[in-house]
Amino acid sequence: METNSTQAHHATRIGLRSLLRPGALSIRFHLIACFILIVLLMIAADGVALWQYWQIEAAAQRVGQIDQISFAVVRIHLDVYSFRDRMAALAGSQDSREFFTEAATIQRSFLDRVDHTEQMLRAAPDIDQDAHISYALESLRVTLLSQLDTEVQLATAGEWSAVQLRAAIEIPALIEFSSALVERVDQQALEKQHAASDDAQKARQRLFIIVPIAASLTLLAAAALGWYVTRTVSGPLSALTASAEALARGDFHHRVQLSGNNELAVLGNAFNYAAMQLQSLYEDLRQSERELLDVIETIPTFAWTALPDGSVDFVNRQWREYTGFSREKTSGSGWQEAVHALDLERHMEKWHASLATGTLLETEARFRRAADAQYRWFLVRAVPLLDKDGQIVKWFGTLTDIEDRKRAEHEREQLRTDLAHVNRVSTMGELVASISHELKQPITAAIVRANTVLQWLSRDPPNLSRANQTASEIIEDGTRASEIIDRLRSLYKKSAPKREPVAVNDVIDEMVGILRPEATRHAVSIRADLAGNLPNVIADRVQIQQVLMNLMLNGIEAMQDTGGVLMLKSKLREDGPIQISLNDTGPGLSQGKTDQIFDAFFTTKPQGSGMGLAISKSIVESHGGRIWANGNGSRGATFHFTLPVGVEAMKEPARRRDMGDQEAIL
Amino acid sequence: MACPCRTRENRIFGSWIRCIRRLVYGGVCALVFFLMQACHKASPPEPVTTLTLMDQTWVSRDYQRRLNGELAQFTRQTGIRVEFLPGPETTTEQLATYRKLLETRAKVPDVYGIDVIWPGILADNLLDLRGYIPEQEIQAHFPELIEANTVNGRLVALPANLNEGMLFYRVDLLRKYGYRAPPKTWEELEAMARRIQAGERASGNKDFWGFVWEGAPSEALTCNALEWQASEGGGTILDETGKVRVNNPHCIRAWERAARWVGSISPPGVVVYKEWDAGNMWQAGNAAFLRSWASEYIADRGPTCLIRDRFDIAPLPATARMAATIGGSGFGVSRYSLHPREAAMLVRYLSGREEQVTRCRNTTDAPTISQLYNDPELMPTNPQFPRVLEVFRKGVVLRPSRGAGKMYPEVSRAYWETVHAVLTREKSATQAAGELQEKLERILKTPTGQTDSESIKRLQKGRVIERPR
Repeated sequence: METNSTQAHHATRIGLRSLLRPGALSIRFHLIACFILIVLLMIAADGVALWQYWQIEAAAQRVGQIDQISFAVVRIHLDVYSFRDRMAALAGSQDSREFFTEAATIQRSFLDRVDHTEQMLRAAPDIDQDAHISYALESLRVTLLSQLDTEVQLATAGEWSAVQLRAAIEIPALIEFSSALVERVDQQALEKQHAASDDAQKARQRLFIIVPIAASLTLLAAAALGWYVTRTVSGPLSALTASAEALARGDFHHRVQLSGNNELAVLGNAFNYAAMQLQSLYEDLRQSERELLDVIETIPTFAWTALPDGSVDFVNRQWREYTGFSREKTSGSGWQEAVHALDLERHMEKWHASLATGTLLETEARFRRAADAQYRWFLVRAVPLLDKDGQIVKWFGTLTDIEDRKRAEHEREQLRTDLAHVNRVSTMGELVASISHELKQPITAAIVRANTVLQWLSRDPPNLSRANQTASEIIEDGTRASEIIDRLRSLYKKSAPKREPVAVNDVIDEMVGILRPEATRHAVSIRADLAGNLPNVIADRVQIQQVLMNLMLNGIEAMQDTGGVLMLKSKLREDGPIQISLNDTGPGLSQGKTDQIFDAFFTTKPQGSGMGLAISKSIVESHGGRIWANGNGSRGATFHFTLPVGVEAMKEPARRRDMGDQEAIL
Repeated sequence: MACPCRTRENRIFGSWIRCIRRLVYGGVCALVFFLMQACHKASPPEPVTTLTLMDQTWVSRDYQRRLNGELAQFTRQTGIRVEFLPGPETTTEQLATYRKLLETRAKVPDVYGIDVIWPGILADNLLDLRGYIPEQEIQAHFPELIEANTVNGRLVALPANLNEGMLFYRVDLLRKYGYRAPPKTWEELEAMARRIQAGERASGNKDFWGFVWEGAPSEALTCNALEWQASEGGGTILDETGKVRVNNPHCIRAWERAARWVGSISPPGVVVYKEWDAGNMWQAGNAAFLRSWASEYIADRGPTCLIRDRFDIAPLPATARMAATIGGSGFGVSRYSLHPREAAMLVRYLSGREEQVTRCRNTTDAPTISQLYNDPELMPTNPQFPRVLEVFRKGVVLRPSRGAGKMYPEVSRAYWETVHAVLTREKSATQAAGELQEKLERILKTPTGQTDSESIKRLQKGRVIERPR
């Protein structure tokens, strides 16, 4: 507590000391002090002016008062005169009664006048400064009363001669005295008049001096105030303005130099501090921006931003290095030059769609690498930055190199295709007996007919027409064999997968044609129940043939010992895709194996590779369809698969086509 | 920020500011100066000290002229102005006025003319002059007068003139009716007056009287009666031990004799005669004898006076002893004066030797400095001086002002009222003397303070003239 109070005391002392230092006084204090000074000056000037005016007035009043007093004293003097005259006259007549009455009258009138005059004197104390007039009046009154008294007594005693002698000798002295009093009052009145007029004159002069001086002083104080304000406010303000401008220019090193401790100095210090803080913030920001930029510039992806209209305004270094485009070249729509010509249209469609709807952009396109003029696949993604009203402010996007993924995908596809091919070939191997049987028929027929031709030609005369006819039949047989081979060749051929509109029923018919000899060999009859007016599916025809062949052979194999019926159905499912079902009358599938049978290397057959169903599954799924099996118990097994139609099915073929082109490049 | 142009600008700013600051300071100084000047001018300039003198002596043209001359001289010498205020006519009224002024602590007048009988009454309100006037100058005055003006060791007034009761007589008439010398006793005076009065009236002056004196009930009557009483051997009202001495045969005889004068050798109206009335009658040549003050000598020799060459003065008649009441006055300074030092200077001037000499040349005011009585230079103009000095040495009586102290006005009033009653035959002298004896003893036992209230009352405003009975 003690230290606190000591500190407080110390602080107060310092505060006082700083208050006494002129520079430390605040502008507010200065302004208030200046205003107070001006007001005080004006009040003082007004006060002095009023005072002088009052003096003039008072002087005039004094003159009036003393005039009145002078007049009153003259009347007293006249009273004394009349007193003498009356007394002398009455003493002559020796009428004591009249004398008493007259004496009483004179006394009353005289007393009234003296009282009146004394009252006036008392009302104007500054006139009779030495009190002489009032004492003289008093003296005159006492004397005259005493005279009256004595004369009345003398008259009473009948001493009229004594009365007359008094009137002749003493009363003149009294008159002289009252006359002196009158003179004196007159003189004083004159002096007062002079003094008053002098005072008034001087007051007037002073007024004429003081008013302009006070006015000019007030003006000076106002000017000083204005000057001071200009100096203490405008100067620092302009310095502050200059600093603010410097700050606006980004010159954070600019500092306001304001001395003192007033509000503006405080403001200046605050400004300096703010500038310092801003500078540090700015540097931090720049640092983090640099860091961010470094990140953006160095991340192993292409980062870019675009304006809401789609024009690119930033690309990172990775992009620039990759495309060899400068930032300027990239900006706007310059980047489009890097896009593969085949991808550009699709890419722009998607980009414009995103720009229009504000939805996320996600697409893949090839971009040209400057180093080797190669195109590589990139995943292009962009998200819009929305303001609080939902308006797009900016687009932020990345280009991720997916070339390797693409390549892997492609390789996997290739593998699958190869596998499917192997599967086909191996399956075809299984069909060799029936195929060779099928081929053997036209070939055998051709041989027989050739022999017949020879016979017809060896006859003499050779029967040319018959030979000719038979030779034509040989051509028909050869053509038929050739057709068979052609039909099989696509299955043997290792071709790139492709998408095309495929009529499923046609494919089914074709496969039934190919496999009927095999089925027949195993006493299996094939029936087809195909729905009409099925839409085309977008698919790889060969692969669909392969799936059908795998499933049909599977069914034939299941019934090879017993013989039976293989039933094929096609229909358009209500939920969209086309469903194809194969039903056999074999032993069927055990309940728990319906899922396992699609796994690779799973087989129930001693000579089966275990790959057929697995490959079929992968093919169907790569077409966006589904494959499954139903164990029908004793009534055999049923396999179903679906193939989608419509838009969804349309997209995939495009990509597949791209892949096809890619394959060409590779 | 610290560019050179800015620094130069600042320097120019600074000089401007200094300039403006100087202007403002100068303006403020000028305003203050004018204000001070205005204040100074507003109050009147330090006036020359002005003293006010209230003198006992009543106004007359000559007296005023003389006094004005004296005061002008003083002003010339010291630069101090003096105003003059006249007092009322009788000493009673004068005293009442003085007391009224002093007891209300009036700052004006500064200097009062102090009658020889007043120091005891006014001492409390007067300044001790010993601190202001050199002892040597004080010692030059008659020690009796200095003593009379000293109360409790304080010299409250400095004597300026000496006055004594004297007998004025018409030399021509005395000679005309066969008398060679003025009367030595009151009986002689009575006889002379009667003869001359009868003779003059017979020769046609119907208004002629033998002896005029101051018979009005006033202090002057006390002086007259005291002279009658003392000269008859009746004592001086109070003896040296302060005992009342009025009820004695001498006194009664003296009063009865005076009462006898009224209407015989003195006019019946003498009982309302004040000093002026007696003097007027005398100067008009209508009286053979006058009891008056020595100071009237010169007035009576004035050019306007009818009898200026036909009178002389003599000691008052006496049966037992020569008895002349001492009068005269001095000057004292009010304790409430604003200028005590200057007032004391005026007193010193007015009572000083030089001024007394001057006065002796112009008036018959007897000096209070004994040396002046031997001054051959003054003798031609003051032939009465040896007689005045003789009377002073041999036969003066003092009114009992010292003995009665502040009660003196009461004592004197009782005394003159009693004597007046005897003169107007309201009371027999015997009865009056007995009553007065008791009254005075009673008065002197009353504690001081309730003094002379009647005189003061009489001076109040609105006094109605009492219709005489």
